[in-house]
Amino acid sequence: MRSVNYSDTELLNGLISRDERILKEYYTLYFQGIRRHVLSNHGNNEDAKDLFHEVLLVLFQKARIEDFQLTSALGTYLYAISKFLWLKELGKRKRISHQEIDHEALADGGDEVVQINEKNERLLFFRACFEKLSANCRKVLSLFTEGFSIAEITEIMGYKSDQHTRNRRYRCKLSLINSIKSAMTVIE
Amino acid sequence: METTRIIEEYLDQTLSMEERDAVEARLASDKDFSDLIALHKEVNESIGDRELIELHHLIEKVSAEYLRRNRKQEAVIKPILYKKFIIRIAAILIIMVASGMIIKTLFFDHVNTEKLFGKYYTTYEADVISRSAPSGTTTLDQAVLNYTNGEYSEALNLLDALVQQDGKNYLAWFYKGLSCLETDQTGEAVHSFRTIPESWDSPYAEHRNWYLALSLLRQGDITDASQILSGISSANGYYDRQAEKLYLKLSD
Repeated sequence: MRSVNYSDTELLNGLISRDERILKEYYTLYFQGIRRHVLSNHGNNEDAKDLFHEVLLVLFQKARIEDFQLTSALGTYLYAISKFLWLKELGKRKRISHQEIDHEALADGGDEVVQINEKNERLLFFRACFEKLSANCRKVLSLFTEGFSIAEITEIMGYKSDQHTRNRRYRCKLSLINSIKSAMTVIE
Repeated sequence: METTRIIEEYLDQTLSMEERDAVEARLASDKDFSDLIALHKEVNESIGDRELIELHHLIEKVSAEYLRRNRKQEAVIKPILYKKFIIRIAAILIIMVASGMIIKTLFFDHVNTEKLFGKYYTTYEADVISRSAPSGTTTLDQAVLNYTNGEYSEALNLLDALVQQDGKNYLAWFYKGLSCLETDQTGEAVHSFRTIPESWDSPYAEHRNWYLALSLLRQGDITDASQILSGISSANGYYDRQAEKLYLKLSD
């Protein structure tokens, strides 16, 4: 039962704006249903927690696209996303055979969901590697991605020249790419 | 670092025309290089996407709070549910045991007493010489005759009339009890036999006691039946041995 009567649109907007109260509402409204689905399909509570996390991030990625429109109730949509993702996860774990995977369901919007989720996983993984860089490196790379000019960054960082700022950027980026590659090798 | 510079400037679209053409030519033929550019692009996206990382951290926070609260609730609810479950199981067991006892009492005990009744009961042999009704006989004689001939309904009609006329006609009550036993009116039989006083000074008194005990046995009233049987067995009368045997069986 909803503790506050938020509409589906309010819930979507709350997710996009990262409103904590609304996020709590998602848990109150939808977590147990998805948990039950996971528990009754070879999963445990930890899997349910992780899956719901992923579902919210996928919904966020889709919802923040300007022309996104819900074609069903939000709960139904979330449940569909969770089913696609869990199906894919079970396939990865080889808990279900290739034949058992509902390929038709995956093709019917499920593939896109899986792709968004995989990209989210990569982005968060890269972010985790980024967080391990030095504070200066993080700041320089962030300023670049935020669109600051070389001259502005040189001034903000107090570097002696723009060339130094450029070199600093490339060194930091190389360091980040190398740490990502190294971590990926460990994972593989 | 030179490759990094080229890739970053390619993505920033700040490469010279010549360098850009070289990158695009390599992209078409070198998959590793193409993958590396894709990686740089996504890493930049990751660094720039503050919203995603903010939401990711917020979800972690809300999820942890929600699950902690839920666990607490479960920790409170589970013992209550467990207690309720135990109480329910106990209640079900009590009901089952009680039902078993009731069923045993109603059916199996009844069957046993009925069996014993069948084993020990024989139709009382009335003290009549003639089985046809001589002229000048009394109503009681006629009733006894009917009883002896197995005409129990007729006997009961006459006996009912007699006890209505004279409630102290204990011999009529006695035969009424016997007739009731023959017609499976056990409750009425008990009532008839009990109407006769304990102190009934009659040669029929012992018979009354025996048939009353059997009537009670048939009703399943083992306590009262046993008490009467005990009295009969210690009186050294006509039924003493049968009464003792039956008493012992009921005492098992």
